[in-house]
Amino acid sequence: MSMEEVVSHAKETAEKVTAQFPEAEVTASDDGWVKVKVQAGRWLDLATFLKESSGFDYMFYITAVDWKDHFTVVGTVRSMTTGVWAEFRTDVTEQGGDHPWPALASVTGVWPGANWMEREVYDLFGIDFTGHPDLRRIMTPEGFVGHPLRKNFTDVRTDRPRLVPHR
Amino acid sequence: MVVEDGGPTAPSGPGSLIQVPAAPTNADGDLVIANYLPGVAATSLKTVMNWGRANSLWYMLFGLACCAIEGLMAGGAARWDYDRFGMFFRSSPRQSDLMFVAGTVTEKMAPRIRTIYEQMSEPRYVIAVGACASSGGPFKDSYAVVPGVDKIIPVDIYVPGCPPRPEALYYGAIKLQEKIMKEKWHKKQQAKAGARA
Repeated sequence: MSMEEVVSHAKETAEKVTAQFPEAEVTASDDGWVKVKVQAGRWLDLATFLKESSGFDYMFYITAVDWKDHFTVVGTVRSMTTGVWAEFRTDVTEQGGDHPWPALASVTGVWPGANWMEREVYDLFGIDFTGHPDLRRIMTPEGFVGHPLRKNFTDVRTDRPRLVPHR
Repeated sequence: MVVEDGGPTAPSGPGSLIQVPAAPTNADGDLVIANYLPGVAATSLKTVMNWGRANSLWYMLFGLACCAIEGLMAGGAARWDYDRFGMFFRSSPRQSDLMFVAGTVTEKMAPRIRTIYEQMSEPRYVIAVGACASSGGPFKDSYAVVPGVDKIIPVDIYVPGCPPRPEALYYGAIKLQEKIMKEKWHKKQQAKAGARA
């Protein structure tokens, strides 16, 4: 598939997404990428639309950015038939009350490959993916306190003595 | 007297076929058995045990990062070759005397390293390969990294470098052999027996 075809597919996809999500910011770049930014409430709708209506069947990654006052969750998918990449993102903020973590709908039901990636984002950024089947820490050791990729993270480990005395 | 059948009795004295040196002593006046009986060496049991241990260090490699490629895979392959020192790779801690911890020790891996170390039979030795295993290296302040494997297990030799050359590891291995040769294991055993009693 030539690059021109990929770019035309990307622009076609951007038009479809714009028609379905008029409030979203959609751009189609010249290198075959579609970039979508939606509200957090329409995150799962957008994921379902990308998978079911636009053929984005390959889950590439999910990650997050800490902007101190809010988080941006970024997902990247690819269509293995048209070769178009799609990057979709949304902003989430910390909630008050008895559920202080930022929450977002899980896309594990759309792409099963998102399971461990959402666990990773939960582990390192502390973002709660509602509807995730098994939201546990995946990278940090057992009993770890905090979410280390947050900007306000502090290491609470106690200093351990060397087992070899200095000479 | 002439020995006819070459039996085990080895007589000596004037006229014997076996010529015994007149004075089997060295300059300090100590008896040197090698001079008295050719082919026999006298030494302490400690030295023999240490010599055997130092020259048959079977090692287990705990490769965690790039140091494992440089120091253990390249160092163990034919170009440098640990076999020259009587060191052979064993993939089981039960059969190993020495463990190379090569690379960054993460908090998640630390209990596993401790378990593997405890599975080794005594006497056991540990060489920390590279800056990360010695002190945490450039990742010292990371939330995920143990700043030095000596926070987890006792370390005998530290080999600096990022990563160290195989020659540097050989220097560390030779230093460990020298350390083993000086080891007073019988006193350790006595201390343990005293502690038990």
